[in-house]
Amino acid sequence: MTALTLELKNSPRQRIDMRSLTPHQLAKKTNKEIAALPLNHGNRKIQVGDLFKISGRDKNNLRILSDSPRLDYIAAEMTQGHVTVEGNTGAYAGAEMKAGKLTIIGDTGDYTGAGLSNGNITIHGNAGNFLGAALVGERQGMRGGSIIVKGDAGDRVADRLRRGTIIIRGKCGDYCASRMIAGSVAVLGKAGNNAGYNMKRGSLLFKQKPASIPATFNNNGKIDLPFLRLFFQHLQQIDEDLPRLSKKINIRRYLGDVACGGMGEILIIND
Amino acid sequence: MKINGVEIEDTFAEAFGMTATRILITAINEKWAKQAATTMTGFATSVIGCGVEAGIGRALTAKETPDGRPGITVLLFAMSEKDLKKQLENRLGQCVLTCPTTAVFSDIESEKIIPLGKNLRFFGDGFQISKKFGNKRYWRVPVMDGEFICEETTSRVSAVGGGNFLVLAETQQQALAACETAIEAMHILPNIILPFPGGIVRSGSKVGSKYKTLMASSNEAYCPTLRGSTKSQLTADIGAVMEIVIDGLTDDEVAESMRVGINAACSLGPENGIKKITAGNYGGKLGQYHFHLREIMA
Repeated sequence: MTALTLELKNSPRQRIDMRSLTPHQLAKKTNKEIAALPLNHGNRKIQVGDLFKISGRDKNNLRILSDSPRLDYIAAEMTQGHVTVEGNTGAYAGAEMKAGKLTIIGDTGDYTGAGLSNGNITIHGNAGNFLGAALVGERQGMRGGSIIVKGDAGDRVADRLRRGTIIIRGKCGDYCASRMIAGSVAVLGKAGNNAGYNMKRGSLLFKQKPASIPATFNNNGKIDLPFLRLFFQHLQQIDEDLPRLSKKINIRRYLGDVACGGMGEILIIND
Repeated sequence: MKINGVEIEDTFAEAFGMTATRILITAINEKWAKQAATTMTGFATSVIGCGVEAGIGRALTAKETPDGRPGITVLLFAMSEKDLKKQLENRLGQCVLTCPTTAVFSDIESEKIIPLGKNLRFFGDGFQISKKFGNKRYWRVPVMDGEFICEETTSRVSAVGGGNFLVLAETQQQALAACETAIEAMHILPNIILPFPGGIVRSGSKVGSKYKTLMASSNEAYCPTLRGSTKSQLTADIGAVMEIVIDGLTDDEVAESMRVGINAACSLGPENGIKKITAGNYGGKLGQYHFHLREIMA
């Protein structure tokens, strides 16, 4: 069975909330019923069929072909299946996802994977700000699962992260892992200012030293951490073609943020 | 039935249901992993006095372990979940946590979960760090040589304890040589342990005693110095008897280890003083597993 494919006919002029189009909600619907589903387009109601050309039958494999940055909440609250986006997405892609897999072969907007509680998100392009962060008004960000960004990510990655793992192969912006509660973040490229700002617990791994670390982090020195082998192995399990991070386990460690208990750690491979 | 001229008595070994776990200890090198495993499995010969029966399983290379360091597996067998949990925690705390460079991981999976580092973590006095990778939670406990890493839980499985066979020989040296040969052959098998010193027990016991407080006492039927004064099972040509006791994760593995061990012991033959192989049982009323020697060796 070929994947259920939604091909965008024309780029919408208003933002579209896509959260009703997930595998578990479409499972028992025919393509005709899917085409008749309502979507909000500004202050007007349109139907899915007005916006997308629909083909394929496998509802557990949803393929979205879109170059529009206005499709928000793609795969949000998803509980099963695999959603593949060929093109770019708007904001909130995979937000509050509970299970399944989301693959984005393009760039994503802000709040991708925000509040994720399980499942995997892979972004082949760049991600916006607040990746894996808490939704506005929420006390916790991502609470499980994993996010892989093969490009760069914006500011406030993993803000209020509670559990789970985020891997950014490229650069990330300022305030990476700010207010992080626990969990793991690995950044292979350059990182911006104030990494780990107000983090409580958790592990923040950088291949190279970020532009700045808050003064409220203490230098723990260079020490042997056999735990790193477990950590590297875990990262490699999530991101199978991740380049080998390091053979050595003697790396620079900072402890902080002491303004918030100081139980977190920043680990720097090449210091 | 005779194997290489050695008589196999038509009897059976009686074994009991136990509960067991297998853990993996890793360290900076095999020497220190083995040191921790040896220390942890000390004073663990019999559940009667030690609470648990424990032994070393096999050595793992750095490529086979979760933290990329050499490791040794340890098997522990107890009569109840409560005993197993208590002994595991005590032995981990006193023998592995204290041993330089070690880390400990679960090496068995089942639905019956028991704590591994779950309570040990409190040694960190609040500085311990939890890391959850996938479905597994690890604890990083700060210690003076760095960090002690332990998986939070392991599993326990139903197991078999008390598989055995007795080697009857002309002299003490000959009985010992046959048992040593058997043990060397049995050591290559995974998932079994030989809990007694060097794998051999010379003080085989019977249930009960004339002294009311004792649960077990010397098995006089197999003591050569009592031949003539008790109802002995030993013929005049037997000068020493030694027993090999086996605990295993399954009855098949216990039976296989008995087969390998008896074959090896018999390989020395009557010309080296090995006269007979028999087994210990309690009349078949106590243990749920019966390993009939002639069936195993058929």
